[in-house]
Amino acid sequence: MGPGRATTTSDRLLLALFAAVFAVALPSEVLAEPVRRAFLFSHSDGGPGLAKLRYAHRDVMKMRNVLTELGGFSGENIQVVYNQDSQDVIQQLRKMEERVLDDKLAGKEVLLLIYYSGHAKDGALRLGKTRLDMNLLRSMLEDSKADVRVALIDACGAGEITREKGGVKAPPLVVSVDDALTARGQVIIASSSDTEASQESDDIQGSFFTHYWVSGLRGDADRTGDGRVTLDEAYAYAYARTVAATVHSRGGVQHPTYRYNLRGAGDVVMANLGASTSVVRFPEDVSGRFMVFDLERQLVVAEVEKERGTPVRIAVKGGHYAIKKREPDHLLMQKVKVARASEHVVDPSQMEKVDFDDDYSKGAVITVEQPYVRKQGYWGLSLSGGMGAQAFFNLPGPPTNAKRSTNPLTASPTFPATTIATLQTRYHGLFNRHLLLSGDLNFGGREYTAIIDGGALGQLRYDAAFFMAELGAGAMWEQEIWRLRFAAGPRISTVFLFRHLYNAPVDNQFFMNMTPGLAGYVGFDIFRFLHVELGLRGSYLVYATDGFQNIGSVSATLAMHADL
Amino acid sequence: MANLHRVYLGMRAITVPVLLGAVLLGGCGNWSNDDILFKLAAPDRNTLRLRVPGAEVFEEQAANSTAQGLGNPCEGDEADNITCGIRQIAGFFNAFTFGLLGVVDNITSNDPTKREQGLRVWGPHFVQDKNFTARFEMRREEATGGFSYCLHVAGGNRTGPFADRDVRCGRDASGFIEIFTGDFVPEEGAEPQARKGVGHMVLNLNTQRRTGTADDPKAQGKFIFDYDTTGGATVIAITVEDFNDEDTGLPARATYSYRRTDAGDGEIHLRLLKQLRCGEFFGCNGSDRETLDLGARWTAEGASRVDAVGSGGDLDREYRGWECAQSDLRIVARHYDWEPDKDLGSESLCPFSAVDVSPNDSAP
Repeated sequence: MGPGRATTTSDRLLLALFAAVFAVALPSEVLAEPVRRAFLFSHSDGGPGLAKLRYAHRDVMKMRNVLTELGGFSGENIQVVYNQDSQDVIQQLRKMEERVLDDKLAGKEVLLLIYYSGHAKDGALRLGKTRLDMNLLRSMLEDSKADVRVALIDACGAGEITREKGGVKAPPLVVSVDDALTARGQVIIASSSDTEASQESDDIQGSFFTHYWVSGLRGDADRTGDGRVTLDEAYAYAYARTVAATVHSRGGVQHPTYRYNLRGAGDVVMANLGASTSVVRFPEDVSGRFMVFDLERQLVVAEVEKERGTPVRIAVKGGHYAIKKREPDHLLMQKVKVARASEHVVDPSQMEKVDFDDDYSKGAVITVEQPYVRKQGYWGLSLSGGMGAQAFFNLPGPPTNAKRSTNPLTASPTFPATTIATLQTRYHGLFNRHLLLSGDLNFGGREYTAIIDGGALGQLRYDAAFFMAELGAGAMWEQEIWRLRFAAGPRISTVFLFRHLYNAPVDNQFFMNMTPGLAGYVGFDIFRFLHVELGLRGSYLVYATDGFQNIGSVSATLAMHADL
Repeated sequence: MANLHRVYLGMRAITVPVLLGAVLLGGCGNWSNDDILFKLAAPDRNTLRLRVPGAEVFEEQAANSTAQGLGNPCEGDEADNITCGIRQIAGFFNAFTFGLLGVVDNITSNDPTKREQGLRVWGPHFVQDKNFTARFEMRREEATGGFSYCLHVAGGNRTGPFADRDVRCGRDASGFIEIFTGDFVPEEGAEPQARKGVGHMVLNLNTQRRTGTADDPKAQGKFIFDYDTTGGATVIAITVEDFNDEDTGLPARATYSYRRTDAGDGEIHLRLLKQLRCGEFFGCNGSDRETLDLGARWTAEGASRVDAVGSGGDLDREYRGWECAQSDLRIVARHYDWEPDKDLGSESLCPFSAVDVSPNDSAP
């Protein structure tokens, strides 16, 4: 089935008319770069009677990756929500709209993209045991202050959301392309009609529609070859490929549908291939169906239906990939490293012959998928042993004791540095998805030589054993970028310091005090539930036993943090 | 009722920040480098121990209490020999200093009750077995690095808030009376645990007796200790004055000097100005005070020689005697002017020639 087969003449005329009218009304002036915000959500569980989806979350990951790499969306403007019920999703959508409103108040143009992968039935998205009425979603989209709203619903029966007032099964006409956001209105695209199933595939490890949508954005949909993929091109490509791929499937053919309500002269650019400097290029003389598989993220990045005579460029992020071409009785495969700012040219003659069973791009066995998920509102426990250190130093300030050093930031003569172990627990998302509360217990100790300034006696040296324990609590603002986490905030702790002096006239001594300070960490997510983090803490404490001293303490720890 | 509740809530609202602020600002604990310096400068009984060979038994006996320490270890065959007399005198002083400084040790084994820049105060602490309350104060002179200290005592239990109001070194108040003062200048660069330095202590038993806190109600005298533990030796000079002879009731005075090298050899000189008991040994018949000079030297191994000279007063002449002992304390040679028939061995068996019995001029 060709992409234009289901398009009616009246549709084309209507859209052409729209385009002509608003091209006059809204001249395509050079406008400021619009803010692009995305709300991506999925749910693998559609409730009783519906099979769990295996790749719903992976679809979201693919979408997120392509939006950040090529779509002009910054990571912080993309909110990803996995497996949450309808109330949570509605709440998050409203918060997203608040941010859109802030953008508008700041005089910015805004494009809002809402994407869903999961089940839908009887006019509602099925979010676990809860339902999100498609009419409500649509009305929220219509009420949004964003200049352009785009909704992509990849779900069974998703066409329900486009059906009212006539959803259309074929791609719209191509309208002119403009870098600035001159279009106004909204577009709703569904992965299937209201009576069709949206299907997943183990081969592509995702749903057909999202797979082809993402592949298209990576370059295969760039029909004009101008290095940009518009909404129109992406839809046309995804429509054609989805229909073609499902025509012989057990679930039946799947027809994506759309509802356009765009005014203005320009189409919306969804991907700028020039934004990525890393490219996989399929030369003119190559033909066949190729898959590009991201070996690091274990994702099918793109599928290319290459015809001889026209080169195709697929924009990717720098990294390691597998290029795969399916032949009747075997595969041709090649592992490649695409460096940043470089181009890899696909040459089938360099690819190795591989049996179907040895397909190394299949990655890990995927059951019901639990992809990398960062949940809102969860407890996390981290443990570290012998990976940290704490040191004390004199802070600048007038010393009250003549023998004290006036030199700022010198190591404290009172308290020694030590290695420490740390236990931490956190609660995320209490008032805000960025806000976390933390509690930590640190302890450490070592043998050391206590050097005491004896005035006229000179320096006295005693062998000593030192032990410290610290119980802290704080709040941190956490920011997530890709798999990195950054967090910082205030913290207060109670510190207990103890030493035993050998061969000294005083043997056991301790000191305890409250210490306000700051804490923060940089973390890297290894798995969905596990990240490694470098933590830094700074505290201030007053020591007044031997005269008033301003003392600072700094500790650094390397910890593994597991989300419970 | 509602007003009371508001007052209660208001107090609670104030109390929590105040307590939090107090803890936040000051902290708590006894972590103090200065405490160590003060403790190093406090008088130490081991530093002032007269380590005379053979006195260990007496010292062990004396370590528990002064009263026990005054028991006589010189019994049987040794009852009248001069060597044992030296040990007895050394033991007496050890017991005396142990008793005095034991109180200081006892008090300062607790954390100071007051810490200020250059000042530490321990107590008042109730010393239960002696039934008195003691307060020990130390001050440091930042300029010289020296320390001064004093001990106040009061009969009974006088602990509690403000029990030592207005009490300080040189000032008696609130029932506390100063009985012991001293100062100490540490030696620069000394090993931290050695407490090397030059010190001076004065204990006034006459004052203590008036407080009713003395172990011996008849104890009397003003004991002045000057000591110097620098230069590889311990040198101690003790002067006892302001006391009356027990037998005659006449004023008496005694001076002692002691020197022991870190290697273990040493000497002690005692001059006692008192009324000696006249009898079959000494030809005396009056009431004038005689002078008894004793001098002893010993090797690091413990072999020793003791010389004694009695003169002046009512003695008809100068009397001399000497004893020499091996390292096992067995006397192998002796001679007494007053008992020639007790001569033993030859003077060639002695580790030293005659000991100069005059007090050591090198004493501090």
